[in-house]
Amino acid sequence: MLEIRHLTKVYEGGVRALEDVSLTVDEGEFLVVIGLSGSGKSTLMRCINRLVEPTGGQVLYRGIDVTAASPEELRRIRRRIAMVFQHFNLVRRSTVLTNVLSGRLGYVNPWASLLHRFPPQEVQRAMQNLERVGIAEKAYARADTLSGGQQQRVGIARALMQEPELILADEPVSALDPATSHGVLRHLEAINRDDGITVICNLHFLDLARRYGTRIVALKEGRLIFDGKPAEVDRGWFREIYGQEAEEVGVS
Amino acid sequence: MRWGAMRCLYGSGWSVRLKALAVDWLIWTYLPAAALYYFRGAIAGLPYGRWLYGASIPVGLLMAILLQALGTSVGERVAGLVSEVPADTVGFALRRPWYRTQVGLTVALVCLITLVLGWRITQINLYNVFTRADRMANMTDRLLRPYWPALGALVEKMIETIFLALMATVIAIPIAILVSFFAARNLMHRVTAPYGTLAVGFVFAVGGAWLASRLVDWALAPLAATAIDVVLVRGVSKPLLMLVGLVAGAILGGRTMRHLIESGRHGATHGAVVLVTAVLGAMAAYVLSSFVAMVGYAASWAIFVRELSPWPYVVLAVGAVAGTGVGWRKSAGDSFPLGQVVYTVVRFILNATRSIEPFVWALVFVTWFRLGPFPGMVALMVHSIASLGKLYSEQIESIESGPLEAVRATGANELQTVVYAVVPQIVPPFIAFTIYRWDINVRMSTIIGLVGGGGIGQLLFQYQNLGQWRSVSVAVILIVAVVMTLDYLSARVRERII
Repeated sequence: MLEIRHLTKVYEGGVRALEDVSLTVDEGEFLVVIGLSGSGKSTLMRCINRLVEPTGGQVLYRGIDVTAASPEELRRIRRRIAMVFQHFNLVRRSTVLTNVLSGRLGYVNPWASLLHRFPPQEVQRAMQNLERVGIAEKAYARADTLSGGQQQRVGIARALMQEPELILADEPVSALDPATSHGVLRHLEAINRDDGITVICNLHFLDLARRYGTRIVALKEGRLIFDGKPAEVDRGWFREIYGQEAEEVGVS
Repeated sequence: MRWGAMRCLYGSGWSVRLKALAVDWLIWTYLPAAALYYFRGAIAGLPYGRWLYGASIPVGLLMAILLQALGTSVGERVAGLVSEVPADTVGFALRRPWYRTQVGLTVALVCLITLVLGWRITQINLYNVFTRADRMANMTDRLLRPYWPALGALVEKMIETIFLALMATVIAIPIAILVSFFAARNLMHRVTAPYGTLAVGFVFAVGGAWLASRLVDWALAPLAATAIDVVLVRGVSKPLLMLVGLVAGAILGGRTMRHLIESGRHGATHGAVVLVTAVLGAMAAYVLSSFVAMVGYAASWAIFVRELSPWPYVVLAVGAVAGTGVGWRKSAGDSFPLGQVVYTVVRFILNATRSIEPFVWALVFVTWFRLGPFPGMVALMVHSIASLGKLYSEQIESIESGPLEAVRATGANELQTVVYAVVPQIVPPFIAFTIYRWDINVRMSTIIGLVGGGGIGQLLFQYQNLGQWRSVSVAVILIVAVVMTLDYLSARVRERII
């Protein structure tokens, strides 16, 4: 479904964030990407939907070359790929409902959307998605009045509005406490299992990765160093990925 | 004792050394020059007086080198080469008090000399302040006995003043909002356009505008050219239709070019780009040389051509060649940073307009339209657009990029991204700035009458000229009362909204 070929990203100033990363993602997988901070996980996520322009390599989404797509094509691809962010990235002053509806912007009539006019079935769908993540009662609250966990659930509802084929979750639980993290990841797991939506997720904690992932991929200094099943990440690999000094911390 | 800044210039970190030298040189050129300027009267009388100021420059350099050699230079401390804290101190190192450091003392010296010089230049004269107080007696007496019957005429003018400020602010707001998006770096730097589309679009746009202008003239030809309504119709419709022609031409040209580029006709597209850039180069050369001719020799292009031919044609040719040079190296599909250019141009225009106070703008508009509140309003409006445009655009630049990224990632187009991610974040600061601007405009409108801009200022200065201080007093009281009330109300409004 998603093929990443020899992806390289060098930022201005010479920082080599990604070095020749090649990866294939199948439909329905819950792929977890792990690695130290600064190993290139976020860059990899953002190169998939070209929020960051790769310096070299190709990203093929269902056979379409994302890296060479025109702006029109890119928008059409982007609306099929939803993204959930570490810092939620909600528009603070807007209501929860407006934030969720903004997930549908790639599909609705652009001129109507400029006047905040959405078709009633879209508003229905938004309310259904909010119910699915359990915060329908907050639909008209301002987004910045919600707690972290609630905001992330709004983010997931926004992602669901796109009816995506792929969800990219960039460290969705790094800013949340352990219990809320499990709550959010359970939502993602349910979406992956019940709707068949492929999920690629960056995580910091290995036991979260083991618990929710069907496949684990590890980055170190921009290079892919591990690709396999969660159970295969033993102590040796742990040291390899996180460094000799690292200790495993549990969040279960 | 280290010797010579010159030797150290060849050491490592020469750019740091150069910066240190530059700082010292600057300081030690300023100090003697300022000291000399204090006695500028006497120096102007001397035969080579002006050269003395110039002498500060080598003196400054010598002082800089000398001080660096002695190790007591400020520049070195500023550049981080020498530290006031001894190198062998561990842990808490107490900073020496400012009056015991090189930097502190030098700064104090510079401030002192600057203040003394400033005192001289602004001709502070405390003697006059204290000995001429009795001349104020008459005026003060009259100011303290307001002539209330003058209130009638003043109130009408005050209403005019308030509306002046209101209209200026209200009309300026939508224009400033529009302009501010073009002056916001984070929005503009992403916009690029292919060279080919731009080149051909430009040509078609100019053609479209010209065509539209011809069309209006042809349509209005049979009507009387001096009738008021014909003048008005022509005056309004011509620029409007020209704008339409411009935009339509640009779109048409752009579409044609894009079609050509996509169908791979490289020869044709490249040729088009080269041709257009050659013409643009020649045009730029023409404009530049006309400007130089006008400013430098008070001549116009026609005189330039007549007197100095064939040079003007050489200039045009050089321009064309330069244009071709630029155009040749780019293929039609290469992207031109259109957004950056627009950003730079808009920012420059905004800054230049802001630097010119509404007073001066009012002078211009009073000559163009006639005396009255209208030119005053337009003057305030123009300045408000520039000021609000800058403030708004700075707000846009400081928004969180996270929500912007998120909305973009859903597949929204640029306009949708702006409406959903940018606009909600900038509404409170926009309102705050608008109210701030409204306050300023109210105060400005009370005095713009001085240059004929209407409003209460006109009456105020009239009374002052006639020496009717009692009426001036009433006017001032009225102004203070109204401005303070409006200030208070707008502060309350701002509180409620933010």
